[in-house]
Amino acid sequence: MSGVAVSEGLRSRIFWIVVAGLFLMSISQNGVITHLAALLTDRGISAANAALAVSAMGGSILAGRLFTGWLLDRYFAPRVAVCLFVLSALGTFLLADAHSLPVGVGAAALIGFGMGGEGDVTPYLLSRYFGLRSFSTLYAFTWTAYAIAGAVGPIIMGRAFDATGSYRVLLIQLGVATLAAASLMLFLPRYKLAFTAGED
Amino acid sequence: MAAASSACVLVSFASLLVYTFAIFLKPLAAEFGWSREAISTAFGVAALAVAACSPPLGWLRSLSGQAHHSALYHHFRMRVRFSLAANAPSMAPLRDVPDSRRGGKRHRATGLLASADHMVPGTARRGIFRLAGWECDGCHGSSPHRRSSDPKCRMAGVVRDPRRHRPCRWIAMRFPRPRAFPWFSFGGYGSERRCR
Repeated sequence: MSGVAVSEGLRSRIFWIVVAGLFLMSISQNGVITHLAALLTDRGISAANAALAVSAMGGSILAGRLFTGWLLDRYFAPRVAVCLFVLSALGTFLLADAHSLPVGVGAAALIGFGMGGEGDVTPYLLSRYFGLRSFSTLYAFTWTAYAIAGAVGPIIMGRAFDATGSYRVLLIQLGVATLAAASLMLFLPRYKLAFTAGED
Repeated sequence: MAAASSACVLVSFASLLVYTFAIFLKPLAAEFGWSREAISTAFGVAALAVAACSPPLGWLRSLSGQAHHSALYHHFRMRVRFSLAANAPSMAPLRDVPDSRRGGKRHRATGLLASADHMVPGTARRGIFRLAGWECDGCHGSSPHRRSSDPKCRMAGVVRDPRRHRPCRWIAMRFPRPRAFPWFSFGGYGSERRCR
Protein backbone atom coordinates (compact mmCIF):
# COMPACT_ATOMS: atom_id res chain seq x y z
CA MET A 1 0.00 0.00 0.00
CA SER A 2 1.52 3.27 -1.07
CA GLY A 3 1.51 6.52 0.78
CA VAL A 4 3.47 8.66 3.19
CA ALA A 5 4.25 8.03 6.85
CA VAL A 6 2.21 9.86 9.48
CA SER A 7 5.10 12.12 10.45
CA GLU A 8 5.71 13.03 6.84
CA GLY A 9 2.04 13.84 6.38
CA LEU A 10 1.99 15.99 9.50
CA ARG A 11 4.99 17.96 8.25
CA SER A 12 3.37 18.59 4.91
CA ARG A 13 2.07 22.03 4.05
CA ILE A 14 -0.80 20.44 2.13
CA PHE A 15 -2.05 18.69 5.24
CA TRP A 16 -2.19 21.90 7.22
CA ILE A 17 -3.95 23.73 4.42
CA VAL A 18 -6.63 21.05 4.44
CA VAL A 19 -6.84 21.16 8.24
CA ALA A 20 -7.00 24.97 8.37
CA GLY A 21 -9.73 25.06 5.73
CA LEU A 22 -11.69 22.44 7.55
CA PHE A 23 -11.25 24.24 10.84
CA LEU A 24 -12.52 27.58 9.55
CA MET A 25 -15.41 25.89 7.79
CA SER A 26 -16.33 23.83 10.81
CA ILE A 27 -16.59 26.84 13.12
CA SER A 28 -19.37 28.37 11.08
CA GLN A 29 -21.05 25.06 10.24
CA ASN A 30 -21.27 23.82 13.78
CA GLY A 31 -22.15 27.26 15.06
CA VAL A 32 -25.01 27.42 12.62
CA ILE A 33 -26.17 23.87 13.10
CA THR A 34 -26.50 24.28 16.86
CA HIS A 35 -28.09 27.73 16.79
CA LEU A 36 -30.18 27.51 13.63
CA ALA A 37 -33.52 26.86 15.31
CA ALA A 38 -32.90 29.47 18.00
CA LEU A 39 -31.86 32.03 15.40
CA LEU A 40 -34.97 31.48 13.29
CA THR A 41 -37.40 31.46 16.21
CA ASP A 42 -35.79 34.68 17.48
CA ARG A 43 -36.81 36.23 14.18
CA GLY A 44 -40.43 35.28 14.49
CA ILE A 45 -40.45 31.94 12.69
CA SER A 46 -42.45 29.26 14.49
CA ALA A 47 -40.64 26.43 16.23
CA ALA A 48 -42.14 23.87 13.85
CA ASN A 49 -40.89 25.79 10.82
CA ALA A 50 -37.49 26.22 12.42
CA ALA A 51 -37.36 22.45 12.85
CA LEU A 52 -38.26 22.18 9.19
CA ALA A 53 -35.22 24.31 8.34
CA VAL A 54 -33.05 22.00 10.43
CA SER A 55 -34.48 19.04 8.53
CA ALA A 56 -33.84 20.84 5.24
CA MET A 57 -30.24 21.14 6.32
CA GLY A 58 -30.14 17.40 6.98
CA GLY A 59 -31.60 16.69 3.56
CA SER A 60 -29.15 18.98 1.82
CA ILE A 61 -26.23 17.36 3.66
CA LEU A 62 -27.36 14.09 2.11
CA ALA A 63 -27.69 15.68 -1.31
CA GLY A 64 -24.34 17.44 -0.89
CA ARG A 65 -22.59 14.19 -0.09
CA LEU A 66 -23.97 12.37 -3.10
CA PHE A 67 -23.50 15.21 -5.55
CA THR A 68 -19.99 15.94 -4.34
CA GLY A 69 -19.04 12.31 -4.82
CA TRP A 70 -20.20 12.64 -8.39
CA LEU A 71 -18.25 15.87 -8.83
CA LEU A 72 -15.09 14.38 -7.34
CA ASP A 73 -15.13 11.68 -9.98
CA ARG A 74 -15.09 14.35 -12.65
CA TYR A 75 -13.27 17.42 -11.39
CA PHE A 76 -10.15 18.38 -9.47
CA ALA A 77 -11.06 18.03 -5.79
CA PRO A 78 -9.63 21.35 -4.48
CA ARG A 79 -11.76 23.24 -7.03
CA VAL A 80 -14.80 21.28 -5.92
CA ALA A 81 -13.91 22.22 -2.35
CA VAL A 82 -13.69 25.90 -3.30
CA CYS A 83 -17.19 25.78 -4.78
CA LEU A 84 -18.61 24.01 -1.74
CA PHE A 85 -17.02 26.43 0.69
CA VAL A 86 -18.27 29.40 -1.30
CA LEU A 87 -21.79 27.93 -1.29
CA SER A 88 -21.53 27.47 2.43
CA ALA A 89 -20.31 31.05 2.89
CA LEU A 90 -23.22 32.30 0.80
CA GLY A 91 -25.58 30.37 3.04
CA THR A 92 -24.00 31.93 6.10
CA PHE A 93 -24.36 35.46 4.69
CA LEU A 94 -27.94 34.69 3.75
CA LEU A 95 -28.70 33.41 7.22
CA ALA A 96 -27.28 36.54 8.82
CA ASP A 97 -30.23 38.44 7.37
CA ALA A 98 -32.84 35.70 7.16
CA HIS A 99 -36.18 36.91 8.44
CA SER A 100 -38.53 34.56 6.63
CA LEU A 101 -38.89 30.82 6.39
CA PRO A 102 -37.92 30.42 2.71
CA VAL A 103 -34.73 32.41 3.19
CA GLY A 104 -33.95 30.48 6.37
CA VAL A 105 -34.53 27.14 4.66
CA GLY A 106 -32.51 28.22 1.64
CA ALA A 107 -29.61 29.36 3.79
CA ALA A 108 -29.74 26.16 5.84
CA ALA A 109 -29.80 24.11 2.64
CA LEU A 110 -26.76 25.93 1.22
CA ILE A 111 -24.79 25.49 4.42
CA GLY A 112 -25.83 21.86 4.66
CA PHE A 113 -24.84 21.23 1.05
CA GLY A 114 -21.38 22.61 1.70
CA MET A 115 -21.16 20.66 4.92
CA GLY A 116 -22.09 17.33 3.36
CA GLY A 117 -19.77 17.90 0.44
CA GLU A 118 -16.85 18.83 2.59
CA GLY A 119 -17.27 15.52 4.43
CA ASP A 120 -16.53 13.84 1.10
CA VAL A 121 -13.76 16.15 0.01
CA THR A 122 -11.51 15.87 3.06
CA PRO A 123 -10.89 12.10 2.97
CA TYR A 124 -10.64 12.25 -0.80
CA LEU A 125 -7.97 14.95 -0.67
CA LEU A 126 -6.04 13.07 1.99
CA SER A 127 -6.07 9.86 -0.02
CA ARG A 128 -4.90 11.70 -3.16
CA TYR A 129 -2.09 13.64 -1.51
CA PHE A 130 -0.88 11.16 1.07
CA GLY A 131 -1.91 7.75 -0.20
CA LEU A 132 -3.52 5.14 1.97
CA ARG A 133 -0.65 4.08 4.17
CA SER A 134 -1.35 6.54 7.00
CA PHE A 135 -4.78 7.52 5.84
CA SER A 136 -6.74 6.61 8.94
CA THR A 137 -4.40 8.42 11.32
CA LEU A 138 -4.20 11.56 9.19
CA TYR A 139 -7.95 11.54 8.67
CA ALA A 140 -8.41 11.21 12.41
CA PHE A 141 -6.30 14.33 12.92
CA THR A 142 -8.48 16.28 10.54
CA TRP A 143 -11.43 15.09 12.61
CA THR A 144 -9.77 16.45 15.70
CA ALA A 145 -9.46 19.84 14.03
CA TYR A 146 -13.04 19.63 12.86
CA ALA A 147 -14.27 18.73 16.32
CA ILE A 148 -12.28 21.43 18.09
CA ALA A 149 -13.78 23.95 15.72
CA GLY A 150 -17.10 22.24 16.35
CA ALA A 151 -16.67 23.07 20.02
CA VAL A 152 -15.55 26.64 19.33
CA GLY A 153 -18.31 27.53 16.84
CA PRO A 154 -21.37 26.95 19.02
CA ILE A 155 -19.74 28.58 22.03
CA ILE A 156 -18.80 31.78 20.22
CA MET A 157 -22.25 31.88 18.65
CA GLY A 158 -23.80 31.59 22.09
CA ARG A 159 -21.47 34.23 23.45
CA ALA A 160 -22.23 36.59 20.57
CA PHE A 161 -25.94 36.22 21.18
CA ASP A 162 -25.60 36.73 24.92
CA ALA A 163 -23.53 39.85 24.33
CA THR A 164 -25.39 41.50 21.47
CA GLY A 165 -28.79 39.80 21.36
CA SER A 166 -28.25 38.85 17.73
CA TYR A 167 -26.18 36.47 15.65
CA ARG A 168 -25.94 38.78 12.69
CA VAL A 169 -22.48 40.30 13.06
CA LEU A 170 -20.82 37.04 14.01
CA LEU A 171 -22.50 35.20 11.13
CA ILE A 172 -21.08 37.72 8.67
CA GLN A 173 -17.65 37.26 10.20
CA LEU A 174 -18.02 33.49 10.00
CA GLY A 175 -19.05 33.82 6.36
CA VAL A 176 -15.86 35.73 5.71
CA ALA A 177 -13.91 33.01 7.52
CA THR A 178 -15.53 30.41 5.28
CA LEU A 179 -14.52 32.42 2.23
CA ALA A 180 -10.99 32.46 3.63
CA ALA A 181 -11.20 28.66 3.89
CA ALA A 182 -12.30 28.57 0.24
CA SER A 183 -9.32 30.65 -0.81
CA LEU A 184 -7.00 28.36 1.15
CA MET A 185 -8.15 25.50 -1.07
CA LEU A 186 -6.77 27.40 -4.05
CA PHE A 187 -3.29 26.84 -2.68
CA LEU A 188 -3.55 23.08 -2.95
CA PRO A 189 -1.22 21.71 -5.64
CA ARG A 190 -1.74 18.90 -8.11
CA TYR A 191 -1.98 15.37 -6.77
CA LYS A 192 1.18 13.45 -6.25
CA LEU A 193 1.10 11.11 -9.19
CA ALA A 194 3.01 8.32 -7.49
CA PHE A 195 0.10 7.62 -5.18
CA THR A 196 -2.76 8.08 -7.58
CA ALA A 197 -1.12 5.81 -10.11
CA GLY A 198 -0.68 3.13 -7.46
CA GLU A 199 -4.34 3.09 -6.60
CA ASP A 200 -5.79 2.96 -10.06
CA MET B 1 -24.83 -5.20 6.71
CA ALA B 2 -25.56 -1.92 4.97
CA ALA B 3 -29.02 -1.92 6.52
CA ALA B 4 -27.58 -2.67 9.95
CA SER B 5 -25.04 0.14 9.60
CA SER B 6 -27.75 2.55 8.51
CA ALA B 7 -29.90 1.61 11.46
CA CYS B 8 -26.98 2.21 13.77
CA VAL B 9 -26.14 5.56 12.22
CA LEU B 10 -29.76 6.55 12.60
CA VAL B 11 -29.49 6.50 16.36
CA SER B 12 -25.87 7.58 16.59
CA PHE B 13 -24.15 10.57 18.08
CA ALA B 14 -24.40 12.69 14.96
CA SER B 15 -28.13 12.40 14.43
CA LEU B 16 -29.17 12.42 18.05
CA LEU B 17 -26.94 15.11 19.45
CA VAL B 18 -25.59 17.20 16.62
CA TYR B 19 -28.70 17.65 14.52
CA THR B 20 -31.23 17.95 17.31
CA PHE B 21 -29.20 20.24 19.51
CA ALA B 22 -30.54 23.32 17.75
CA ILE B 23 -34.11 22.35 18.56
CA PHE B 24 -33.40 22.05 22.27
CA LEU B 25 -31.14 25.04 22.69
CA LYS B 26 -33.77 27.67 23.36
CA PRO B 27 -36.10 25.53 25.49
CA LEU B 28 -33.13 24.43 27.60
CA ALA B 29 -32.01 28.03 28.06
CA ALA B 30 -35.56 29.00 29.04
CA GLU B 31 -36.04 26.07 31.38
CA PHE B 32 -32.84 26.49 33.35
CA GLY B 33 -32.31 30.17 32.88
CA TRP B 34 -28.84 29.59 31.47
CA SER B 35 -27.20 31.68 28.81
CA ARG B 36 -26.93 30.31 25.28
CA GLU B 37 -23.19 30.23 25.65
CA ALA B 38 -23.55 27.95 28.67
CA ILE B 39 -25.87 25.59 26.81
CA SER B 40 -23.55 25.60 23.80
CA THR B 41 -20.68 24.62 26.04
CA ALA B 42 -22.37 21.25 26.50
CA PHE B 43 -22.12 20.74 22.77
CA GLY B 44 -18.53 21.92 22.95
CA VAL B 45 -17.72 19.26 25.54
CA ALA B 46 -19.16 16.55 23.31
CA ALA B 47 -17.20 17.90 20.35
CA LEU B 48 -13.99 17.94 22.37
CA ALA B 49 -14.60 14.31 23.29
CA VAL B 50 -14.73 13.56 19.57
CA ALA B 51 -11.53 15.54 19.10
CA ALA B 52 -9.80 13.56 21.83
CA CYS B 53 -11.00 10.15 20.62
CA SER B 54 -10.27 10.59 16.94
CA PRO B 55 -6.46 10.27 16.83
CA PRO B 56 -6.22 7.09 18.95
CA LEU B 57 -9.10 5.59 17.05
CA GLY B 58 -7.50 6.47 13.73
CA TRP B 59 -4.23 5.01 14.87
CA LEU B 60 -5.87 1.80 16.03
CA ARG B 61 -7.70 1.59 12.76
CA SER B 62 -4.45 1.91 10.88
CA LEU B 63 -3.12 -1.06 12.84
CA SER B 64 -6.21 -3.18 12.60
CA GLY B 65 -6.75 -2.40 8.96
CA GLN B 66 -9.32 -3.51 6.50
CA ALA B 67 -9.81 -7.06 7.54
CA HIS B 68 -11.18 -6.29 10.94
CA HIS B 69 -12.82 -3.15 9.92
CA SER B 70 -16.39 -4.20 9.65
CA ALA B 71 -16.11 -6.25 12.79
CA LEU B 72 -14.64 -3.36 14.74
CA TYR B 73 -17.14 -1.01 13.25
CA HIS B 74 -20.03 -3.02 14.59
CA HIS B 75 -18.16 -3.77 17.70
CA PHE B 76 -17.97 -0.06 18.41
CA ARG B 77 -21.57 0.34 17.53
CA MET B 78 -22.49 -1.99 20.31
CA ARG B 79 -20.28 -0.24 22.79
CA VAL B 80 -22.71 2.61 23.14
CA ARG B 81 -21.76 3.04 26.72
CA PHE B 82 -18.33 4.27 25.68
CA SER B 83 -18.00 7.74 24.35
CA LEU B 84 -15.53 6.25 21.91
CA ALA B 85 -18.49 4.74 20.15
CA ALA B 86 -19.68 8.18 19.30
CA ASN B 87 -16.87 8.57 16.89
CA ALA B 88 -17.34 5.40 14.93
CA PRO B 89 -19.51 6.96 12.21
CA SER B 90 -16.79 9.44 11.45
CA MET B 91 -14.54 6.59 10.51
CA ALA B 92 -16.98 5.10 8.07
CA PRO B 93 -15.04 6.20 4.98
CA LEU B 94 -12.13 4.09 6.16
CA ARG B 95 -14.05 1.07 5.02
CA ASP B 96 -12.52 1.67 1.63
CA VAL B 97 -8.95 1.44 2.79
CA PRO B 98 -7.38 -1.85 1.86
CA ASP B 99 -4.70 -3.15 4.15
CA SER B 100 -1.99 -5.45 3.01
CA ARG B 101 -0.46 -5.72 6.43
CA ARG B 102 -0.92 -8.97 8.21
CA GLY B 103 0.02 -10.58 11.43
CA GLY B 104 0.65 -9.55 14.96
CA LYS B 105 0.06 -5.84 14.83
CA ARG B 106 -3.50 -6.31 13.88
CA HIS B 107 -4.11 -8.68 16.73
CA ARG B 108 -2.58 -6.32 19.20
CA ALA B 109 -4.80 -3.53 17.97
CA THR B 110 -7.81 -5.74 18.15
CA GLY B 111 -6.77 -6.84 21.57
CA LEU B 112 -6.49 -3.26 22.76
CA LEU B 113 -9.98 -2.57 21.59
CA ALA B 114 -11.33 -5.78 22.97
CA SER B 115 -9.75 -5.12 26.32
CA ALA B 116 -12.24 -2.31 26.81
CA ASP B 117 -14.77 -5.00 26.52
CA HIS B 118 -15.06 -6.60 29.90
CA MET B 119 -18.03 -4.60 31.00
CA VAL B 120 -20.46 -6.58 28.90
CA PRO B 121 -21.06 -10.08 30.22
CA GLY B 122 -19.90 -12.82 27.91
CA THR B 123 -23.28 -14.41 27.56
CA ALA B 124 -24.91 -11.12 26.65
CA ARG B 125 -22.26 -10.48 24.09
CA ARG B 126 -22.66 -13.93 22.68
CA GLY B 127 -26.38 -13.30 22.42
CA ILE B 128 -25.76 -10.04 20.60
CA PHE B 129 -23.39 -11.68 18.17
CA ARG B 130 -25.87 -14.45 17.49
CA LEU B 131 -28.68 -11.99 17.02
CA ALA B 132 -26.58 -10.06 14.58
CA GLY B 133 -26.00 -13.26 12.65
CA TRP B 134 -22.35 -13.51 13.60
CA GLU B 135 -22.44 -17.15 14.49
CA CYS B 136 -19.06 -18.27 15.53
CA ASP B 137 -17.37 -21.62 15.46
CA GLY B 138 -15.75 -22.85 18.55
CA CYS B 139 -17.62 -20.90 21.15
CA HIS B 140 -20.25 -23.53 21.69
CA GLY B 141 -18.03 -26.13 23.24
CA SER B 142 -16.44 -25.82 26.62
CA SER B 143 -12.92 -26.95 25.86
CA PRO B 144 -10.41 -24.17 26.35
CA HIS B 145 -8.77 -22.92 23.21
CA ARG B 146 -5.08 -23.17 23.27
CA ARG B 147 -2.52 -21.06 21.68
CA SER B 148 -1.72 -22.36 18.28
CA SER B 149 1.85 -23.01 17.29
CA ASP B 150 1.07 -22.92 13.61
CA PRO B 151 2.60 -19.69 12.30
CA LYS B 152 0.00 -19.54 9.58
CA CYS B 153 -2.78 -19.53 12.10
CA ARG B 154 -4.18 -16.11 12.55
CA MET B 155 -4.84 -16.79 16.18
CA ALA B 156 -1.21 -17.71 16.72
CA GLY B 157 -0.28 -14.49 18.43
CA VAL B 158 -3.28 -14.35 20.65
CA VAL B 159 -2.76 -15.46 24.19
CA ARG B 160 -5.85 -16.64 25.92
CA ASP B 161 -6.22 -17.55 29.49
CA PRO B 162 -8.10 -20.85 29.53
CA ARG B 163 -9.55 -20.11 32.95
CA ARG B 164 -11.46 -17.08 31.87
CA HIS B 165 -11.18 -17.21 28.14
CA ARG B 166 -13.81 -15.64 25.99
CA PRO B 167 -13.27 -17.29 22.69
CA CYS B 168 -16.47 -15.88 21.34
CA ARG B 169 -15.11 -12.40 21.38
CA TRP B 170 -12.11 -13.24 19.32
CA ILE B 171 -13.84 -15.45 16.90
CA ALA B 172 -16.82 -13.25 16.35
CA MET B 173 -14.52 -10.42 15.47
CA ARG B 174 -13.40 -12.44 12.52
CA PHE B 175 -16.30 -12.29 10.20
CA PRO B 176 -17.23 -14.66 7.48
CA ARG B 177 -15.60 -13.20 4.45
CA PRO B 178 -17.91 -10.88 2.53
CA ARG B 179 -17.87 -11.99 -1.06
CA ALA B 180 -17.67 -8.46 -2.35
CA PHE B 181 -14.19 -7.99 -0.98
CA PRO B 182 -11.85 -10.56 -2.44
CA TRP B 183 -8.84 -9.04 -0.70
CA PHE B 184 -10.16 -10.33 2.59
CA SER B 185 -7.77 -13.18 2.52
CA PHE B 186 -7.65 -13.92 6.16
CA GLY B 187 -8.88 -17.44 6.07
CA GLY B 188 -12.50 -16.71 6.51
CA TYR B 189 -14.95 -18.71 8.41
CA GLY B 190 -13.76 -21.83 10.12
CA SER B 191 -10.06 -21.32 9.68
CA GLU B 192 -9.62 -21.28 13.42
CA ARG B 193 -10.92 -24.80 13.55
CA ARG B 194 -8.29 -25.97 11.12
CA CYS B 195 -5.35 -24.65 13.03
CA ARG B 196 -6.33 -25.88 16.42
